[in-house]
Amino acid sequence: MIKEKVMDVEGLCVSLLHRQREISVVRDVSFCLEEGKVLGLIGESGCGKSITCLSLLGLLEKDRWKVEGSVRLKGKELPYLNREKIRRLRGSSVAMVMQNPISSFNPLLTVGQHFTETIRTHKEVTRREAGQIAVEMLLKLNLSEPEKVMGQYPFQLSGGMLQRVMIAIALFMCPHVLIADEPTTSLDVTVQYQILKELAELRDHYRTAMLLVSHDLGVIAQMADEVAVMYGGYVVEQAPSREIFCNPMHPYTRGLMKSRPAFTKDRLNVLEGYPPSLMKRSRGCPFYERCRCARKDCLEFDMKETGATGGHSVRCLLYAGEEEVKMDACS
Amino acid sequence: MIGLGFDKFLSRFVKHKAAVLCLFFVLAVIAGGIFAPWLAPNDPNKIELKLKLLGPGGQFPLGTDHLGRCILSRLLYGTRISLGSAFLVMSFSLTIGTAVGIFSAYRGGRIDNLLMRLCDIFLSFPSLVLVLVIIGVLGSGMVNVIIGMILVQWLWYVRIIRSLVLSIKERTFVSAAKVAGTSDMKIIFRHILPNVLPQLIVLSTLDLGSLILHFSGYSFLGFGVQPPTPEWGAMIEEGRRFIRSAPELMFYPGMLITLIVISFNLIGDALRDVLDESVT
Ligand SMILES: Nc1ncnc2c1ncn2[C@@H]1O[C@H](COP(=O)(O)OP(=O)(O)OP(=O)(O)O)[C@@H](O)[C@H]1O
Ligand SMILES: [Mg+2]
Repeated sequence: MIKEKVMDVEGLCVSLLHRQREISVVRDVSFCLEEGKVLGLIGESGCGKSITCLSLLGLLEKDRWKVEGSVRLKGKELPYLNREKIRRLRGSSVAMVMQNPISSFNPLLTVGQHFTETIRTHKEVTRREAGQIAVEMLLKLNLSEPEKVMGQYPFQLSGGMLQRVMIAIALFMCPHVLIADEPTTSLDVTVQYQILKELAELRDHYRTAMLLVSHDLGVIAQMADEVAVMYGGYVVEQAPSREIFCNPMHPYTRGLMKSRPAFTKDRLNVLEGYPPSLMKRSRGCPFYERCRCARKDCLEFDMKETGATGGHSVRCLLYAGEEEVKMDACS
Repeated sequence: MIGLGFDKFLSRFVKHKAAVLCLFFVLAVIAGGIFAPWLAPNDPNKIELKLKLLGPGGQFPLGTDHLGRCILSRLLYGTRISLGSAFLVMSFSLTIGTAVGIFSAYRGGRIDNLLMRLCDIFLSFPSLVLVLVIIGVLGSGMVNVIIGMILVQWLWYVRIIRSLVLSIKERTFVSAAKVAGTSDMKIIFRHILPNVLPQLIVLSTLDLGSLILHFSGYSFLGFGVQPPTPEWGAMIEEGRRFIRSAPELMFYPGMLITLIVISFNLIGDALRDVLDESVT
């Protein structure tokens, strides 16, 4: 099968404008999404995952955020400056599933009203036709009694059902790209796995390119074809899924893998410390303070990619130049 | 209230007995104003000096004033002006305030900042002073008082509605609608407006009382309604000169204003309770 690039993100930088200062939140992020493939984006809370997603959709308010870089959808630059054009692309070409299904629905509208509203935003159909499309979509997501669900208010449904509805709403236009920002974090584990299974089936069926954000390594391991690890606004390491789990290179990724609970009696290794606060971000590697193999020149490091072999790229001085380092020395 | 369902809303509202009583009172007064031509026993403006300052009874159920006009008829016709003008001021200022408030909050940025600073400046004066300045420019008269009151009142609503919208705008379902490509207009009319509506209803009910009071106040001061037009505030003013000999001339309209204002406040409070309950 030929891989087809659907979305190509290059040098995405997002900064928050705050009292005449620019606080960079997302720094030089590049990745590309391929048809029918899942890119997993993983990282600690506050590292900029959601902001990355929102900036792809052009949803950051211009007077508070500065967004730079290029995002191409099927080879065409996304028209972020044209509010109306980008609005039409949202929900039809680039769809998104939000983190918290329960609060993502207006309590005053029924599920059906939400659904038909979105359908009629993107398709010229009557209310009835929209209703039919909605029912079909809900059936695809294994919701029983879709007609009944359509007439219900959000608070009458469970989180899992609402998340299915939201996925159905996101997918009815067969978008090229589906961004799922922690789609299962607020659900319990059994529901979580059902939903992931359905997402995987739909991805195969529609050949949608997916960006899956999560801080759950299990979810990423199950779903992702490729994984990007984010820290302090940078993608510090990116590699095919198998590669990153078997051969993590960046000290942060290694720490992450170790802090993963396993069914052994060993004590859980926890990453010490906290990520640096937004305001304190400065030059050098953001992981410096927590890194076990930090060196002086890490503070001067410009966070360029240092090693990129076989689709495995990393940003760490350990892999700079010829010092193909004794990795085990500091792990 | 919208999410609540009407029958549930009603059953909760009925529990507030005083408010229900007030509601009936207000409705009765409004009906009195609307049907004044049929209900009023006499022409409210017919002067008959021979019949001045009569006590209640007979042809004049509440007696006559210093010019021999029927007090009851004047009160009934006065309702039209006193309540009507308050409703007018309310609907205009609320509409303008809502439109501008939503726009300002939704757009944000520089326009929002500018509008809010403008509001700050105007709201730093007492509204009485502002209205008097406007009347000073436009001249006195009922229409000018109404215009003046609208011009001042909407500034308050812009503020309040802006803050209501700001809190709704940050709710996740608004982002979800944006993510799905919903247009700004649809977001405003389907998601934001219905969610601020309950608070708007409470707010406007509570404010109606004070608007009635203010309007009557301007008439009392001689800026608003000019004699011989019947209006509650103006009637109090006319009766003022006879406070010793015929205190009822001031008592009837005064009492009516007091009761109406209290009623609107109690109804507003009850509405707020009912709607708060539905939130929690
Ligand atoms: N509206 C906002 N205003 C100011 N700062 C914000 C805003 N939204 C996010 N931030 C900041 O931007 C940074 C990145 O936030 P983001 O929401 O992308 O984190 P995240 O990686 O999605 O975390 P989580 O896993 O908790 O969802 C955070 O440090 C946060 O404080
Ligand atoms: Mg997030």
